[in-house]
Amino acid sequence: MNVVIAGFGSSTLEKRSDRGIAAFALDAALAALADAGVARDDIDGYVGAPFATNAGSPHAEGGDEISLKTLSSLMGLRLSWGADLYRRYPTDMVASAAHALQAGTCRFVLGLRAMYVAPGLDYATGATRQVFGADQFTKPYGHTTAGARFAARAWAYMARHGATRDDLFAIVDLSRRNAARNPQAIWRDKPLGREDYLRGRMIAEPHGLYDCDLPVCGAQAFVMCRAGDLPQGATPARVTGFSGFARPEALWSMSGRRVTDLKTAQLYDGFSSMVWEWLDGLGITAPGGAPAFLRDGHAEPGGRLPLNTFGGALGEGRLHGMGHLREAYLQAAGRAGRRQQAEGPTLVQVGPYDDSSFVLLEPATA
Amino acid sequence: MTQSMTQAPARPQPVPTAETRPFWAGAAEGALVLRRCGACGRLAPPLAPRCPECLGDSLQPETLSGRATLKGRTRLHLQPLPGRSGPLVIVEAALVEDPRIVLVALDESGCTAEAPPGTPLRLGFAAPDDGTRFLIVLSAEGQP
Repeated sequence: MNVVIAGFGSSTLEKRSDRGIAAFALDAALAALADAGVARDDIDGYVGAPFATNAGSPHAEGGDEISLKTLSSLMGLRLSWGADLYRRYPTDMVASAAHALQAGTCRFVLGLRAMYVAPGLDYATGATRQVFGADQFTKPYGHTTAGARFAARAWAYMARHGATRDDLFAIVDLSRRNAARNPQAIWRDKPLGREDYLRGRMIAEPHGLYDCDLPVCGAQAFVMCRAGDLPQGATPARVTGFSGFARPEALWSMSGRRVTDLKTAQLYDGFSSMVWEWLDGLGITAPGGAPAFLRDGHAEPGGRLPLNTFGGALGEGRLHGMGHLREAYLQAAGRAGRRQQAEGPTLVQVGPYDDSSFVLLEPATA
Repeated sequence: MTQSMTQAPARPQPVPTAETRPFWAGAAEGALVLRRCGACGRLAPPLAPRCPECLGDSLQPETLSGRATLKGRTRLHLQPLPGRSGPLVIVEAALVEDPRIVLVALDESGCTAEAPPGTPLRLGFAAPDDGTRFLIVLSAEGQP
């Protein structure tokens, strides 16, 4: 694999906006092009994952979702390859872009993920008159609302391993403190003490308000190319491994790395308890050992394996893993500034416990 | 129509297909019905068009015991279902006939309040809601 991320860009992240999703998408795309040093007309590949994931999403094109078709038209892109991945994650976007680049289908791939909070809508509802397909066994029970299934799993984890809400707070606390060093994080200036955390209203037990990431209006984008096509002035991070379907094994065999080689990891945290899943699942900790790992400070900046060094989704805002990928790029490229940790292999994991995908990024000089 | 508008608003109503109709037909009679593969004997999840093991298409409806174990549980403080107030206790129950099959049910009685993961449960069906009987959790002794 001789493919790199050549640059990354972000829009502002806002709780609400008068501007539409396309404005955020174009801001991110143009920032990524500038960061990578490529012109709009150099882009001949595109990958997105536009699905709006909230239970109450209207799935309105240009409203709370933006597809390749709309974006390429608004940007005047002339593509030879492009794909929107249905209900997949930024990590899968990297894998698809790498495939297209390796195959020689295109030279410069723009990858984009945009999120939007449409005004006046209840995004936290599954209420509807009729339910079809898999929904008929979940929505009439409220199981699709507010991460109920992740809460149910967190309850079982905590009961089995003796973890408490203080252990959940340790994740939220780390996220808020890391977010303070991320200028675009939605919670950058909002430290959260234990008492304030515990006073937050319950959402789906054991998750309270602050265990849930904040929906935002925003977008982030990357440019990928083959290493030999890297534009002058761009700082690359090599893509050395990826895999999907909650099976990280292929990432390790592809990269020739082991979990002990990791310098940092960005683990998906749409709900705080999700961070435990892959600390245990990757063997970083023994089953049930993740809360103690966090409690003992091993996930702190400078610790044994610094986690979610940009604040995670809990600190930066809900970008469905794009923020995790961006931070991994910045860490691997040595561009994380005040947040920079030891340079070396950095892992990104995005998605729920039973549907995660993974990317490994490494410094280009390694 | 007039009558339904004066009643309490209903929970989302399932639109069955050929695959899920045995489940809802069983539910109407208070029976937990899934389909078992005639070729290899594996129990199929409700949506499956074929056996997920051998891909055979001879799935036959079967009334199950309703016995299950407590896999997951949450008290949801939002109000996604119409006509209700107060938290919903949502339970994920793994069937004893095949624990890979996990069904979602409401605990309307509080019988899981102190129950740890793995506690034996019994699944039953609530009174009709706009014509549909949805799963509820009973204690292992079958008490609502």
